[in-house]
Order: sequence, then structure tokens, then C-alpha cells
Amino acid sequence: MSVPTDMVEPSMHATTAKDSSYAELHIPEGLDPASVSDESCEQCLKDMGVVLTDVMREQLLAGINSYHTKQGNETITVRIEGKPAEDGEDGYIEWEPKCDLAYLLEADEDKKVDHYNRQSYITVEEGQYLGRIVSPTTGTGGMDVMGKRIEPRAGQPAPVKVDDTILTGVDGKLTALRRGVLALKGNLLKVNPELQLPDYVDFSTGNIDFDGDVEIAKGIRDKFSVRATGSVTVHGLIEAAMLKVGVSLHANGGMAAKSKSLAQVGGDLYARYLDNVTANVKGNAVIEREVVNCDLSVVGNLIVKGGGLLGGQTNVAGMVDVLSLGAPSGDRTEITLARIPEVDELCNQADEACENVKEQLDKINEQIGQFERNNARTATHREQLTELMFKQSELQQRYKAIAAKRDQVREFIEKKCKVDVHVSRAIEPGTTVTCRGVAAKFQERVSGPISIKWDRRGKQLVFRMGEHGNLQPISEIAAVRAVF
Amino acid sequence: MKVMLVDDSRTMRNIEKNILAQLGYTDICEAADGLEALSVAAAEKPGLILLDWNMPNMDGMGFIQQFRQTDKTTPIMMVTTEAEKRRVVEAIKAGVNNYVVKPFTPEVLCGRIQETLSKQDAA
Repeated sequence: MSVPTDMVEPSMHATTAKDSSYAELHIPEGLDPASVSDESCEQCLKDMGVVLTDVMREQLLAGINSYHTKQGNETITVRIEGKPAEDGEDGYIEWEPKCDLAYLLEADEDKKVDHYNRQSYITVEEGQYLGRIVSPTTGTGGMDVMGKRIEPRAGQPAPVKVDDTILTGVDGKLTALRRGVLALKGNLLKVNPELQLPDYVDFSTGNIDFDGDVEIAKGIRDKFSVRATGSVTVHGLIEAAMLKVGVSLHANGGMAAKSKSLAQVGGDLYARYLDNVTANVKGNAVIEREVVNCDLSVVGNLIVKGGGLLGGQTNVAGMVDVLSLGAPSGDRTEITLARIPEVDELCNQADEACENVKEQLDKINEQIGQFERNNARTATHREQLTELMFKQSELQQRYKAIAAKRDQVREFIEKKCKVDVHVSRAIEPGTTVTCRGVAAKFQERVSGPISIKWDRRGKQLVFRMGEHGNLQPISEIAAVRAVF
Repeated sequence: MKVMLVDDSRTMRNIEKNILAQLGYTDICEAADGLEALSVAAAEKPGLILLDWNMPNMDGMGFIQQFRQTDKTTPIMMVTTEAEKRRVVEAIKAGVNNYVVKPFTPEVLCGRIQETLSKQDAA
């Protein structure tokens, strides 16, 4: 029998991957198992340029053993792999739990989130530890089957920079250098002294309670509250919200509150307009347009240059400068001058307390007088008298202290309160101006410019038409009555 | 400085306590008669004693006589209804440093306490 010319004796051969990450030794069936030895296999691989390491040798031996076990009756391919490189890990910030943004949105144990009281920002104290920047690792090099080193990919540094409000210490430890809001804008991590909200105060932010200044890019939605020890600037509309502001409130988009809001302002109030707002302002109130149906109390001056005071009740301690007073429709508009309701209340309380102490003192004096009139001088009488004299002394001291406080408050009112009203356009019917127990109700429209002042001597409200008119009693243009 | 108040009337002790507080003395110990005062004084070592005359168990004079046997310096103010001159002389002879007759106003007691303490300081 002749042997076909195209028949080739089977032999083992080796191949390598393109990137040399592995090599394969193909051992065909039918070889004499004795010829498939460690040495012959290694040589086959070495002929391909493979550099065998101990690990690779083990892989090869396992394959050879398998071939022998099958007594050469099966073709096998032994795969020998190089050592891949281990890439480095990227750097990252390992946050202190309370400084991690994820912490803000956690549900409570009942898996409920209180959307009104959730917090959408993180406040930090000066010196507070924030977390640490973990450095990237370089990785570990590998080796391909040809003995060539495989370079690892080095990890990238954490994509974050800090400004001078944060100290980066040993081991990348981050410490706040001032009190404020922790902010990560782009790659820059910093502590802002003010809280800046990019949208509305609503369910996305919850109520705001912040020690410092707050700036709100849009408005404040119904039923949300904002408390800040500093100033608050709101660029959009403030709806029926609660505001407690330590310094000034800038309501650039106005306030329309449906009579359900309360704004307490420790400093000045600047607003585009006020509609159905209840507000207590310790400083001045400067309103661009109308003040409509508001319950307003202003310790400083009230300026409504571009609009009128329409409806509602307004108490002002300082000067008033408005375009118009009252509504052309004749709606009731009340303005009380030279009055700070809270302070008046204090005065009234002090008066009541003085009266109360005086009554007690009169009783004690009467009792002491009785002892003296009766010439009571037994030991028991003397002790009783000592007791009465002690009570008398206590009450006298208390009376002096309360009266002194009350006088201080009165002095404050006297200094703070001015009766100086300027109306440029008109006072409309239905407007009542009250001051120091006198109420002047306008029943007819009075065109401006008109000024109203207090005549100390005559103890009455007076007015002046135009810049240079004579001062005349307000009873000339309004119905005057005494009020208590 | 600790002040001891000896009087059988709690009201009177309270009045004295209040007046002393106005003067800045708040470290106070109390006794309701002369006998109790002797043991309180031994334990508390007061720097000033305000003493009533008429009390049960042991009166003010009884207290002074025993107390002065061992303590000649701690100032004692007699605060009493006993206004007769011979009584005042008797008390001073026994070792009382100052004498206040009831009824007194807080101002009077304040003045006498300050007077007594400044005399003590000068000595």
C-alpha cells in the first residue's frame, strides 16, 4: 500500500496570540506518548520565542499529563498564559458620613422621607473633618509569554481640587477652615459662607434653616419655611411661606402670600411688591410697587415709591413715603404712625406691673401705718413690723426697676418714632391715619402731594399741601376722633 | 465668708438671708436656738453671727456666754426686739459687737452688717 503524498506525519506545534498574552501548544492524537515529553514540549514553545516561567511550566505539565492519561488518543491544546498587569485604582474622596451627599436623602426607619424637613445641603463647622482624598495606586506590572513586561495603567487622581477654605493635610485629610456650606462645583470643593440654592425652595430642598446668608435663585413655594441668621435674597416669587430672617430680606420677585405667610425680618425689607403678607420688619421697608392688603409692622421707615398702600393694617414707627394711601375703591386702609406694637405691648405690660406693685405697696404701707397708729410694740409686733418693712423695701425696689425699664422703652419709642408722612399722588377715601390716640378718617379723595405731621403743642395731626403750604389741622380734610 | 443666722423664726432668718444675699453673702448656716447654734458654729466656723435674744432651749445671752469662752473674735450682731438700754449694755458686756433692734428696715441691717465687718477688718 502506497502512502498518499499529501499525508504528513502529525507533530506538535505552538502558536502565540497576537498580543503575546498567551501561547498554545497543539499536541495531535496518535503521537508516541514517549515523544511527548516535558523537554520536547518546552523546546517546541521555546522555538516560538516563548519564555517559560514556573507558573507557565505548571500549566504545560498539566496538559502533557492529560495527553498521557488519554494515551495519545485525543488531540489536546495546552494554553499557557502570561501574567496580566493589574491596573492601578483611581483616587477618590472617602467622605465622613455626615459630609456625604448621599446622606442627605436617607429615609428614616419607616422608609419615609420627610420632604418638608429634608436637607439638601451640608453645613460644616470650622475645623470639622470632612473626609480624605485617597491617592490613586500605580498598579502591578505583568509579563507576556514572550517574557516582555506588560505595563499597568496607573490610577488617576481624584478629580477634585480644594480652595483656601479647606485644608488638605497628611494622608489627604480634608478639614474645613471656616463655617459654611460644603459645595462641590465642577471639580472644586469648597466651603461657601452663604447658602446658594439654584432653584426653588420646595420639595427638592425641604425647609431651609441656615446660620448665615441665603440666596435663592428662584422662589419659595407654599408652606415652606426659610430661617437664616444672615440676609436672605430671593430672586423669584415668595408664596405663602414662613420666613425668619436675621438681617435683611430681599424679595426681588415680590411676595404674594394669600394671607398665610409670616415674614419676620431683623433688618431691612426690600421687595418688588407685597400682596397679603404679614410681616414684622425691625428696620426699613422699601417696596418698589404696591403693598396690598398686608398686615405690616415696620420699626424703621416705610417707602413705597412706585405704588400705594392699598388695604390692610400698617404700623410704622418711622417716616412714610408713598405714592398713594388707600384704594380708589374705598377699601379700608389703616395706617398707624409712631407705633411699634411689640414695644407698645411691653410698655403696657410694664404699666400693668407697676400698677400691680403699687397696689401691693399701698396695702403694706397701710398695715405699717396701723401698727404705728396702734403703737404696737410687743416682741411679736416688732417682728411682724420687720417683716412688713422688708416686704415694703422689696416692693419699692421692684417698682423702681420696672419703672426704669418702662421709661427706657418710652425713651426708645420717642427717639425711634417720627410722624412724617409724604403722599405724592393721593389719599383715597376709606383711609384712616392714626397717631397718638387720634384717628383721622378720609372720606373724600385728597390729591397730593400732601404731608402729614404731628403738632406737639396742639397734640393733633396736621397736614401740608405741596412743598410750601401752611400746616393745617387734619380735621380740615378728614373726620377726626379720639381712639384708645 | 460664712454667716450664721440664729433665730427661732424661720421668716426672720429668711429676711436676714435675703438682705445678706444683696450684700453678696450667700454662704449661710442656720440654727433655731442657742443650743443648736453652739454645735453649728463648732462645725461651720462662721465669720459673722446674727443672733436673736429670745429663743427656746437656750437664749441669745446663754449662747454668747458659752461661745465667748472659746471664741473671742468672731463678730456677733444681736438682732432682737429687746430695746431697753440695760439690755443693750448687758449684751455688749457679754461680747456682742453690734446691736440691731427690731423692727428694722433692710437698709438699717445692711448698714450695721457692713459696719460690723469693717470694724472687724480694721482690728
